[in-house]
This record gives sequence, structure tokens and C-alpha cells, in this order.
Amino acid sequence: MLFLKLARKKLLEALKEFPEYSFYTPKKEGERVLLKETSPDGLPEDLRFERSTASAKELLFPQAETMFYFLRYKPSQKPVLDEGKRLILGLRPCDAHGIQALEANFLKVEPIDPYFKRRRENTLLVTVACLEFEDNCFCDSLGSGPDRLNGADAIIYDLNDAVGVLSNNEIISQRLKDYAFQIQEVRGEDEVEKGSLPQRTVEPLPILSPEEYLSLILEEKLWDKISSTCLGCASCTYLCPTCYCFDIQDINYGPAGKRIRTYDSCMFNLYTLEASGHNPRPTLKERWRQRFLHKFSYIPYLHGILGCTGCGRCIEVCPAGIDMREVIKDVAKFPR
Amino acid sequence: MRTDDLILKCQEAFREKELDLFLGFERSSSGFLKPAVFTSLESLEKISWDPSASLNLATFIPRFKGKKVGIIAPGCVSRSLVILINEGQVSRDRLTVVGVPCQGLIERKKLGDLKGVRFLDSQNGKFTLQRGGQIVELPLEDYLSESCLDCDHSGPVLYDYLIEGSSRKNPSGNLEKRVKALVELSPGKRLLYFKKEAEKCIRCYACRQACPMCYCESCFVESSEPRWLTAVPEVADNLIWLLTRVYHLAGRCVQCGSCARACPEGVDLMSLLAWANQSVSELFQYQPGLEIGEKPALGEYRLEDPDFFWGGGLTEGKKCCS
Repeated sequence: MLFLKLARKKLLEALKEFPEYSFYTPKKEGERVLLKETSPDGLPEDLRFERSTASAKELLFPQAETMFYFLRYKPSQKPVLDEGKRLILGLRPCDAHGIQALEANFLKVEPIDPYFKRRRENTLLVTVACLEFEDNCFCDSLGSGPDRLNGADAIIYDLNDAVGVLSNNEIISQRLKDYAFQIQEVRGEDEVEKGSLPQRTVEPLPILSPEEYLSLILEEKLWDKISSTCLGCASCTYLCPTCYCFDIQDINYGPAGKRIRTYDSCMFNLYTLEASGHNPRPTLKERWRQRFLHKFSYIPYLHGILGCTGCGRCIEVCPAGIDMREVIKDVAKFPR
Repeated sequence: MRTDDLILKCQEAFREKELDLFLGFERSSSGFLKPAVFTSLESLEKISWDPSASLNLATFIPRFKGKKVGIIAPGCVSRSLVILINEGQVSRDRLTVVGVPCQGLIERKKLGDLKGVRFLDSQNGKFTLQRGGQIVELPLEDYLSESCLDCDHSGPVLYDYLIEGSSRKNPSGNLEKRVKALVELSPGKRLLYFKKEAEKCIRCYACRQACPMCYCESCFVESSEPRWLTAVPEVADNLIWLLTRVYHLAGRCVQCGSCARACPEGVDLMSLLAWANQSVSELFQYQPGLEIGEKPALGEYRLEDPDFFWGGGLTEGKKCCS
């Protein structure tokens, strides 16, 4: 890992060293902040970006993608891979945590997902450490922010008159080298200068171990209470940086067709509905339990990383006003 | 309306009618009201009602089949309940309605950057928010959702208990004007407008879930045989979703705006719904959810129907759609 200090202007100048990459940054459009392709010229010098409405997962694992095309009698199953090279700048440390959780699922266990793999290889993820907490964030309770590198290729720290770039990626390190006035080989993010970080005044949330959460799996009353006002829409899971469940459909055009995959959501009726008509998760109670335990028990147990990033998108978007922080507290309070 | 009166009245209803549960709102951590299911007299001490609520509570009713349910209801919710009763989704005797006055509900999307701040209070046409140590007072009228600005039945039409108070008057008529403007557009331009709106849709179905009239146990979008549309959130399929939902709601929608407020992407659902409703109102002189026992406009037919079929009229022995 390399820690490079650059003058602010130099950092923006250095972006021209990445000609084969298209730039993506969060950009406000009406009420929404979208991750849009942009020119590296018009970037804000203070490198402050708003949190994107949808998480960064949409660029690596889009809501809908074609897996392959087929012809009747001539099945061609060559995966359709996205070869576009992207440099995503201005994400938050929590976004990078989300990508890390996706990597754990798509890349760390067999079968490896070729679609995600190719996109991840072609993407440079550059985050900016947060200078302040927003009302709905709680990354500090989960250890995923506001200054952590997580799954990013590089993170930028605001050092007032200069910026510090902690790079975990050979391409970024090599191409920024000539622009830096100070270069330091480091082992991790704890060794670097981070400038001023936001201070939290509220009490951290109680996070239990995966096993402790799992021990609550049969507590119907708990899941009943939590899910009682949930509507069962998918706005939380679609915008969640770590939700990766997908569904597969074939679309036929006469003798030809394509296989697509789209986001699925554990909040839907159809989720885990079996061909026999049986559904092991028939009501919102079981579906909420799945959503919560997947994030706080199964993913941490399997991959050693929390499945929640604390970004607060689900809180902001929930039409029923369900607040994940309150849920975390309710679950921790429940007698085990 | 005082919160104390509301609590006492709801507790009275809960006790007298021996209810299993009560649907209302309670304050969330952000100060905005969130829906809550109250199951005891003591828990009802947290019940509250003000313009920071968003959902139409009647959407939860079909979940509690066979239970005795209490509910607080402003005008739109009471009308939704009437329709649910008329459509056989709930029986009147299992339902206890506490009517509440309504000054309209805040559209949180209009708050922009203030979206995440704490809601404190609403009184006398104003509401207050807290950002850090700062208190911001804003006029309610500027932040009400479009459906509420346009509402012509703000007080409850069905109730067993009533909380006294004044409800919002003077509907703006703005939706009607917007529909008129859309009708006057050329078909091409109109399609362009709806395509632009449909582009935003991510097909999370928050609109459907927030809607008390979308109670089908199996929605047409989930059907795989036949498959009406794919799960890909592209304009064509999004339009099929949005328009079919609107057709299903024509003459059944009370324009509560629950779907529009629930939409995370701000799709203009209200103009479509209002358009369908206006058509039904003009063709059948029918307004939904005003009278118990009434048949839905598109749910009955009469042999002596004086109307003709579009495209020439089958009664004259011609082919339709010629």
C-alpha cells in the first residue's frame, strides 16, 4: 500500500493519466443523486460529493443485465461481459464496504460470478473520507467508516491544503507517483495522516456476534414486531449496497432469446416460492428475519464482514418509516 | 386537535369494542410519524397524528383478516375503508374507525436537503424542523403533497368515533389542470412525457404496497404464465406496469397520494391516477368511496345501459375497432 500526498490541483491534473477509463461521480439530478459518467475536467476541487441515491453496486451489479444470448437448436452460452473500464470517484467508505461484501459473495466462493468479476477488474473505486456524518448514517457503529479503506482501490483524505491518497492498487499508485510531493510505503490505514475526521456524539449501536443473532432465529414475536408495519416493497433492498439476490428470466423473441438476471428482493411474495407452491418464507415475518439475519449473521459468519454498511439508504427510502437503527436496538434488547 | 384527546378516544374505542389491534402512527426516531400496530391500551399512549404521516393506513387492513381492528382515519383513509368494505375485503362490524381531521400530509421529497432532519411539531398551518441546534419553521402549504393540496374530502366520511378539529379546505384544482394540459398535448408529446416518468421507475413496487386498493394476493407482474412483462426496469415494461396499475385503479382510487409519497424515485403517479378517475367520474358520474353498499363503477353492468360501445357500437351490428 502506498500513501501519497498531493496538492489538490495536482490530484485533479493526475486524472488525465487514466485515459482509458470513463469517469463516474455522484451527480445531483433533480431530487436524486445519480452515479453518472462525467468529464474529469469539471470536478469540484474540494472533492465533496453527495451520497448517491442508489448505491455503487449498480455499476458493478446492475439491476438488469443480459447473461447470454441463445438461438433455438444452437445454444451459445458465451457470457456477455461488460468490458467498459470505469473509474468511480467520490464514493463513500460505506459504499466500498458494500462492494467488499459483494466481492465476498461473488468472488470468494465457488462458483465465481464472471459478470461481476469482469466489471470489478475493470473498475477503479476511489472513495473520499467523510468530513461529516449525515442524519441517517451509522457506519461508525459498524466499523465501516467514515475513514476506512474497506473494499476501495484508494481513499482520499482531506489534509486541508493538500490531499492524502491511500492506494491499494498498483495502477493508481504508479500513475499518481509523479504528481505527489511525498510518498510513503505503509502497511495499513492506521499508519497514515487522515486530517480531521467527523466526531460522533450519539451512543454506538449494540452489534452482537453472528452466533448471538442466530440464536434469535426462532423468536417469532421479535420478527413479528419488526415486520408488523413493513409494506413488503423492495425499495430498501434495491438501494442497499450489499443486497445481491437476483432472479433469472429468459426473454424469447421467436427462435432467439436472451437470458437476463435482475434484482430479486427477499421482501417480495415470490421470493423463495417453490414450484410446488410451498414457500418457506410465506409472510413478512420470515422475510424480514431473512433480511436481517443475512446481513448481521450469515454474511459475517461466512465471510467475516458485516452485511450492513450503515449508509442509511434504507432508512431514508422506507415508505413505512422503518429505521434499521431501531431494529438493531430492538433485536439487541430482546432476551436471549 | 390535541394528541391527548386522540389517545383517550382511541383507548376508549379499544376498550369498548374489544379490539385485537389498532392501526395508527407513532413518532419515529426522526420525529416523522411512522405506521404502528398497537396491541394494548398502554401502547396506545404513543399514538399520534399530524402532517408528518405519509402512508394510507387502510393498506394494512387486508393483512388482519378475521381480527377486530381499530384505525385512525382522515378523509382519504375513510374512503379507502368504504371501498374495501364494498369490495368485500373487510366487514364493517370488524372495523372501528376513529375519524381524525386532516390538514394535509407533508411530501418529504419537497423538503430537499431538509429530508433527513428531525420533525418537531405542526401547528396553525406551520411545521417545525430541527437541524443540528437550529429550528426551522416552514409553512405547511408549501410542502404538502400534491394529492393533499387537491383534496376535496379531507374530513372522514365513515367513523365510529370522531376527533373534532378543522380539516383542510379549498382544494387547489391543480391536478385537474395538469390532467387537462396532458390531454391537450399531442399523443406523441404525451407519450414522451410518460416515457420520461417511466424511466425513473425502479419497479420496487412501493406504490403497489402503499396502496390500499392494491390488495391482490397475486399481482399480474408476478405471473409467469402468461408473463405480461419482464422484470427489467426499462421504459416499455415500466409503462406496462404503471399504466396497468392505473387501469386497475380507475374509479377505485381516492387519490390519497400514498403511492406517490412512497415512490423513492418521484414518478408522477398522481396525474395518471387523476386522469383515470376523472374519466370515470365524467362517464359514470361516480366518485369512489363515499357510500357503503355502492357497487364499483367498473364492477357492475346494466342491461339497459344507454351507452354505446366505442368504434361504432355493437348494438348497431357493426364490428368494433374497424
